Amino acid sequence: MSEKKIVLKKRDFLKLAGTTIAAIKLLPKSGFTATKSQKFGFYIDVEKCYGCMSCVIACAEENHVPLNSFRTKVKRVTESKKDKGKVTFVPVQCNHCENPTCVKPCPVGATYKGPDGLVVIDNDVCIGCGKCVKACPYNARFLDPIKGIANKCSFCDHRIYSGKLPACVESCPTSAKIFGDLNAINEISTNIKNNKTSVRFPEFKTKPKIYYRNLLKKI
Amino acid sequence: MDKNRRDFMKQLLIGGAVGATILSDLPAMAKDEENKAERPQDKTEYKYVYSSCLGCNVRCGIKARIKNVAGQEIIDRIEGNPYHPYNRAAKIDKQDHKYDPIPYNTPTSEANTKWVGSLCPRGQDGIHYTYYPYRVIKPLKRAGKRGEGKWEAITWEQLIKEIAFGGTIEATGEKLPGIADLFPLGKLKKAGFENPLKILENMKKDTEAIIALAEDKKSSALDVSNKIAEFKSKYESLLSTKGLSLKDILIDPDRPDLGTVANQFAYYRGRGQGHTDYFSTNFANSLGTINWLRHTSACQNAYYTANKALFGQTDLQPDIYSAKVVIMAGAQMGRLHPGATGQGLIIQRAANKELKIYYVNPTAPRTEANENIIWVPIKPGKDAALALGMIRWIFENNKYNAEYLKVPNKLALKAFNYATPSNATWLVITNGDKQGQFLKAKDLGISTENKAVVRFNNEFKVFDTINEGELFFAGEVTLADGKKVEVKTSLQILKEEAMSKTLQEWGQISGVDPKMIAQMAKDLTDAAPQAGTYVHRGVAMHSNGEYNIISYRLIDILIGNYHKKGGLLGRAGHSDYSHYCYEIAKFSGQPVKWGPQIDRTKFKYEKTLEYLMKVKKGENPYGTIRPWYPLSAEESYTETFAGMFYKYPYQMKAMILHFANPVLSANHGVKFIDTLSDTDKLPLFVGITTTINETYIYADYIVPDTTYLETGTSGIQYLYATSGGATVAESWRSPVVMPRTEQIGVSPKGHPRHASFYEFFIDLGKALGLAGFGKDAVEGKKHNAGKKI
Repeated sequence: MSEKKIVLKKRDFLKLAGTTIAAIKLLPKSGFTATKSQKFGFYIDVEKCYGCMSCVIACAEENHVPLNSFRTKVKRVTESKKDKGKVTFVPVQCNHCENPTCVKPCPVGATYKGPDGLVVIDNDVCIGCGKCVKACPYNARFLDPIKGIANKCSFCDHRIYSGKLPACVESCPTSAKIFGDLNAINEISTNIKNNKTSVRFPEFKTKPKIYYRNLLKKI
Repeated sequence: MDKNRRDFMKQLLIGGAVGATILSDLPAMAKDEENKAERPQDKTEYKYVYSSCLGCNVRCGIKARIKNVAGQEIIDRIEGNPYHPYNRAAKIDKQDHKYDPIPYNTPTSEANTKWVGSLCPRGQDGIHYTYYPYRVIKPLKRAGKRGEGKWEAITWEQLIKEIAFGGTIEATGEKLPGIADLFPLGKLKKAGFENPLKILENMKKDTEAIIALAEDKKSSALDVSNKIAEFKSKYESLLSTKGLSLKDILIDPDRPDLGTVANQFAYYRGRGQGHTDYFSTNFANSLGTINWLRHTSACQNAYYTANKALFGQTDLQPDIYSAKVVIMAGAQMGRLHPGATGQGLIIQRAANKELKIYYVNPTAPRTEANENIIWVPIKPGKDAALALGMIRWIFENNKYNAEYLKVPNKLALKAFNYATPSNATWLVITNGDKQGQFLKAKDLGISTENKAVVRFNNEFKVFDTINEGELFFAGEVTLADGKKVEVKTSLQILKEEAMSKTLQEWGQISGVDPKMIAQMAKDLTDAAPQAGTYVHRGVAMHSNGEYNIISYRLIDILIGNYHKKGGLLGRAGHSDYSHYCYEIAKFSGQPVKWGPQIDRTKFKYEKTLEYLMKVKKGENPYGTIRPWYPLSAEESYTETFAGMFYKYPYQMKAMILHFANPVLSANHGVKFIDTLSDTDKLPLFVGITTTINETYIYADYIVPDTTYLETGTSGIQYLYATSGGATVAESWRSPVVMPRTEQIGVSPKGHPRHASFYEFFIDLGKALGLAGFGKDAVEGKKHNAGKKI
């Protein structure tokens, strides 16, 4: 609860201070309504990804990610020598873990887990100390060289509540990525139910919310 | 933690003291907010413009997101166009199976907010073409030696004037010719001839008469020389009445077959987009040059040439919506048509087990799509051996479509539900001086017609008088003149070729395991006709490219998949807007043109006076300065610049290059620098471009062009066959934002005119007085009939 308290304090402060930046209360028009019961996540079929990097660029343009930094990446994995040349591409980004390791180290509470389960960064609070960057076992965070603060995938939270898909899902030519509420009955939950899925590094017990099909190797 | 935070806030926030007080006094937050997420939602009001991409020539649909920044519209992001068959559509509750675009009657309000199309990274990055910091905004003129990289900005008026009538490079003192020097019709008009078009028409006719005389085996070399001399004196005396000489009109009065001086001007383009092509052809046609050239040798000329030879169509690919097995050869995943965006459909279908792909390529596929993409590594350029191995297997196992192949003509085919017949049963002469030609009815004496012959029930018949022919036959026939020749059916020849090597040998040449060749052939024939070869530049862009493509495409003919669902389909047609509301392709007052192109494609050397005179004089006509390419479907970069370099078949004087970078994009294109940097080989070089690249650095003048996101290359875009020829659709490229190039004036209707390809040709055409340019040049049609604009 302590994380949430801070956020709301800040929002009220801003209201009082008469500024209009950030933290505008949302009334969802279509698509998702943010409730505690929902759990956003991704289902990624690695066999459908052919490393076109469309998601990488879509994310960078949508979120104005500085050059040479990436919120989403596509990893190229080559199998062992006996599999001769087999290449797999794996899209990776912030897992929005249920047990995030990046929240605790933050000295100012800028990183927190919201009521909708998304792990977010409050840009106005972050001091750019980089502790969360080091704490993430998935290497999903980076220090924004322009703003000097932490940056990472937000599941495009500025889009999803108005019925839009995250930019990376939108651009994918092969529908390798599917986004949605894991608790509802929809394409993502059906796919996860019907296919054998795994998460990256389950041994960290962070409970990632990106489920991969055909994730063969530890990456 | 709280304490820390407050300290930081003190330092960070404006009005720190006030802030700190408020923070410390704030109560716990309202309970009703608990279940609501607080997110900064994007509330910017965007404008969306639907258009076509040109990051690569696949031309997917785009949806440009426009943001208003301080009163100026800028491109914020480029998304996929959900209406376009390449991009296909998805929305929040329909993300899996991105197969189809949204119905065309979906309102844009819905498409803007709910639907999305996919788009490759290059297309999304299109913003940088427009906002590239090194864009050419103003007209530039060379201010040093060619290639030195020194430029001066000039006015639009000076640019048009100097390109039309000649200019001087101040730094070097070089005098550049103007295009008016290369406009014979203009010269005749200026000299005061009453009917200049007629003069040129007569000249062409007389030239044809000279060639006809030279082709006549009875005439002597002297006869032809006399005829040329007669031609020269006739026109010299006519032209001298108004102060002109034949040299002003013809490239070489002794070689009238080379055409008029207009041929010494070339328009050369890289990427061709519908309406820019209409525009530039108008200019070339009105000037009278034969040299309207394309970059196809650096693109897919061999692919086009081979398809054209087999099917009469340049672009054919399997119907990727319905095919079950596809041999995807030399079509690099994500890189070739239909691009990273369009190929998404193929990969999805494969991953969903609807399509099996044999990925014939020296490099590995980028996914195996649940083992439905099978990698067949091959030695580069050895595809014909693989294809012939498959053909061998098809013959050995009788898996060819005999029902289709045995039909020799179109009329008989109707009963079988195939689109077009093959010539599998037609007989070919395989020895003697007619070797390689079809056996003709009149040669055999069974009819007076010059038609092919097929064999049926031990009898020879004219191909269109019979419903079926024998597929395999080899034997001797006696011709009407008593000569005996060996004949074989076309299919027999193919079979013998395929059988000339064992499967192991074909495997050895191509580097593919014979077992794999057999498996491919089996899978393909089992799925026929919902199967085909998806071949592209990887196999075509070799020196043996045509043979590779022909070999693969023979498999398609053997299984009879042409124009079948899931089989081979041609590029879908598109509307021809050039004769619709306005007649914008043909203008009265355009001069006749003749002669070979500088790259000698689509022209027979045997039709030139060079060849004919050598034959007449008893010299060996073969061994020319550069080769001729009568069968080539389109033009060649290499041969254009080689032609300019060797001044063969004639000297070039001026070139306008648009949307191209031959130095970078052709194999060993750096060799072209020898031509481009030499003002003797190419006295005037004008570039129309958005940026100065490796080729334009040698230009004399640079015309600033607009990108495809401004006004450049706007207009109709057809779909390539790789989209599945089943889709009848065409997209339209619209301007997305105002051009960044200099404003050069105002149109008659008050719109601002910005420097671009279009405005350049309009003003240059007007300055030269070309037909089709200027006031009242364009005639209205249909509901505009009688109007002129």
